Amino acid sequence: MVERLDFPGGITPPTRKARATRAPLREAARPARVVLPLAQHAGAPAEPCVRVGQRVRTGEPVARAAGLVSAEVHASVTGRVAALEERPLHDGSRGPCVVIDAEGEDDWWTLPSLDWRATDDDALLARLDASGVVGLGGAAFPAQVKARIRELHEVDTLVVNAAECEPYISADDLLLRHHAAEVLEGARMMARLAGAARILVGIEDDKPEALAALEAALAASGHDDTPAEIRVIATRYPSGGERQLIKRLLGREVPSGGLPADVGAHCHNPGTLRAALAAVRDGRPLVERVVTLTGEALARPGNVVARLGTPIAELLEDAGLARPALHRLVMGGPMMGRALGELDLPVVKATNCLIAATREELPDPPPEQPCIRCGACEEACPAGLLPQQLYWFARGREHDKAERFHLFDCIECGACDYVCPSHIPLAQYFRAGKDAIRARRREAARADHARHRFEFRQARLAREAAEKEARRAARKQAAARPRRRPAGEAQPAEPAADLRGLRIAETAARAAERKAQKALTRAAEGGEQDPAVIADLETQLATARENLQAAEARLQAARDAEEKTP
Amino acid sequence: MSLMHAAQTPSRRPAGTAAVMGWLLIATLPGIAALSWHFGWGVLTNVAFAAALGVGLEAAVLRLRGRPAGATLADNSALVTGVLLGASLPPGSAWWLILTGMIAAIVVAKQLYGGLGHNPFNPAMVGYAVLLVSFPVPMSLWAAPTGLVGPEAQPLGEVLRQFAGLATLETLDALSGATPLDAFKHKPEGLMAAEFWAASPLPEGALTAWRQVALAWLAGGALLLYKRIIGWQIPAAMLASLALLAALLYAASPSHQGSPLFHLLGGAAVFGAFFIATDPVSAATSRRGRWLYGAGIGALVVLIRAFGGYPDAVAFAVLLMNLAAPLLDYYTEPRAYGHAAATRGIAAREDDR
Repeated sequence: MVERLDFPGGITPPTRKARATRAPLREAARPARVVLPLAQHAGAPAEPCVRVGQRVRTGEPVARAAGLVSAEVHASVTGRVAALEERPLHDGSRGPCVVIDAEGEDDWWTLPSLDWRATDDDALLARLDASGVVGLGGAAFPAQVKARIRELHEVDTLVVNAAECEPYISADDLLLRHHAAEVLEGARMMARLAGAARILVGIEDDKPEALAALEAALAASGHDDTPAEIRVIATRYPSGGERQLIKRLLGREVPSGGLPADVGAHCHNPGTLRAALAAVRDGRPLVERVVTLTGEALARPGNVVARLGTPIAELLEDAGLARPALHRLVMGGPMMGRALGELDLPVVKATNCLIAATREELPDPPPEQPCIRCGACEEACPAGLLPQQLYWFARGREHDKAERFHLFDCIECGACDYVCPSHIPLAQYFRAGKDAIRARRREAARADHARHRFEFRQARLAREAAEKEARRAARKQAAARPRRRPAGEAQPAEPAADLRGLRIAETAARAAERKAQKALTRAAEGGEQDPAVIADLETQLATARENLQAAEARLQAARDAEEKTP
Repeated sequence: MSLMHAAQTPSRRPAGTAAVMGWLLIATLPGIAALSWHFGWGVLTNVAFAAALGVGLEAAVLRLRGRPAGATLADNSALVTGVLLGASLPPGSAWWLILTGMIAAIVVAKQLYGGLGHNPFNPAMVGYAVLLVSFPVPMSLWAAPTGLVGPEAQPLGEVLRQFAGLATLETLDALSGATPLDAFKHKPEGLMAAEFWAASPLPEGALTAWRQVALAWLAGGALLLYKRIIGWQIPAAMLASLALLAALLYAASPSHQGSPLFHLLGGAAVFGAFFIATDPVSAATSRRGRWLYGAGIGALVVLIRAFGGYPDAVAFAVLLMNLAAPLLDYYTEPRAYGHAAATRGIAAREDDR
């Protein structure tokens, strides 16, 4: 079969970007109070390192990264810490936040400025870590963790994901129009960190101004060592999906369950690249980002540079929010974004877009109708799945079949929802299906863990018994030593065979121990985040060690017996 | 989940189920018009009564099932089933025949399986097959092509008497004529095809009428394709495999087999290809699965017509392939992104091995 050069499916919804791209990028008013959630990145929440009442400067760390995958949080205004408290978060839950009341002008707390070309990798990674830089495309994965990819994979291409394929969002577009040179410079820095030999910028053809700015910036810096290329692609959702973009630009497919780095690619959002450069060149931690403010309920839509922690309500009021017209508030895009239940939430690192939509604009979906298996979803699916079948299995809770039909390759882009004539929220079903399967796996893992703990106990008892037996044998030997056994009465071949068996058992136990050790190391290095999994692997390792010790004790006892009975 | 929907943007393709079914109804109009023009008022009484029964029976079963009827009826799917079955029955069928067929279609084949989207078999074809097996005589009395108007046309009153079940079998027999497929099927064993046609075995204009009806269904099918309501794979595969197999048989035995054109236009093949086989609920759903599904129907139609006991075979061919649809879907899954190869079938899970 002919290899496809593009990802399958995709849709072309109306982009609705024009309203927010008419005005130039502007600085949002500095807020009087910021709320900084400690969990605004992928991974473990940060741990606060300030006291209530403490004075902090703009850029000063207020919470430290905790664990392998986590990110620092920095004060985004100069002022006084007003509270450390639980506050509502964007997903409807509540979580710890640092609240800072601004006082006076910005007083910047910066790290020493570095020239990335003259700085080694470790110092750059440490700087990214200390600056709280995370992916600004929406996933908020810590950039420093991502940049360490080189330790495990060989990367040849750094992809700048400027596709921005989702309707409404224009934050990257505006950022590139104004700061293309910084984005390119950031890309060069991250390319070096990842070990990539070239840079590919993927941008959709509905952003001519950003493209022109990029081309000008590229021409101005043309003599640089890392070759960079701009690829314009036709506007089609979801070409900004990491996997889809890599397929479209490089013709490579990220293996199922794998990472882009498995095929030598490394993707970054333009905003992330600029933030990374600012962290290194200017020593400025991540305290602001570009946010698209759009939707028909806003009189003055546009893109603003907003401090993290700025109340969403303030930004929207400044953009002329007509509250009665507001029907739905969305953070992110209309396809994959999150509907916010309230206005009293802060801008976080993942806030690329806020849509204040009217009822006509993003109406409530009509009631769900039965699936008629028309196959429109299959034509739209960018992962080559059969959503109509997956829907069937999700509804029937046939999780085995859902997995067999590659449920976990679904990127939840919502293209199937968009085309479904029966208005079935397919992506929602798929997310619920994945959650159910993960819960089931956790349940199975818990049972395994219990079994492993039991096995450990058995192994410990066996080892103690073996050691006791060895000591007893040694004592018996010592007691028997004076009376040498007359020749001919020596025990026949049996102990030798026994010794051989014990030696084999000991070797096997040693191999098992090494294997358990390796599994634990791999999980820890692979960024395994579930402490239960690590604990379980540790239990298994301990069991293997007990077994090894027992085998050694038995072998030693047998050897001693052998030596003393020539 | 997506907060935007294709319905909000102008497109050729109707974005909602009710609109899809609505366009399907519109697409049946040329075929029904051509049928009525040639075979008289009986076609219209069939279609009208079957459609009304479709809606009525669906509402009744929904009531029994304790489901809200309004929203479901608004999807127009029961109407479509009624119209399709009505158009397939011999013109001027009696009310009890239509009622039996519609009960089999809507109550048994559709609602007892869970309603729209849950039926493994095409409801209209289940109804048709039940009638064909249970009432072979009235099902094979197809009206002669006497036209809707004109001197020979059967008056509406006469048709209504037939519909009410008051006409005797003799009258019906006198009024009816065999369909081309039926006549050809039952030609004497020793008779050559050429001799058979030379003897003008059909009522005057019958062959022309059937061809025009097939072309009218084709026009409706073209509308469905244009509106992207159906994919082209199933009709194309079905008609291609039908023509190919018919050509092979014709080449092997031109004196006893019908020509490919006769097979294509002489019966319900075109109607079946665009309006029956394309029912997405009961068809295979992957793109390659649809090819195989369509091709299977086409092949079965020719095989049953040539070697089976029935003159036409669209209903049985479709039902047989409905049976095969889940299997086809398991074996024709597209290669998913990030996988080296497509998966085939349902493999045993590792812990079962």
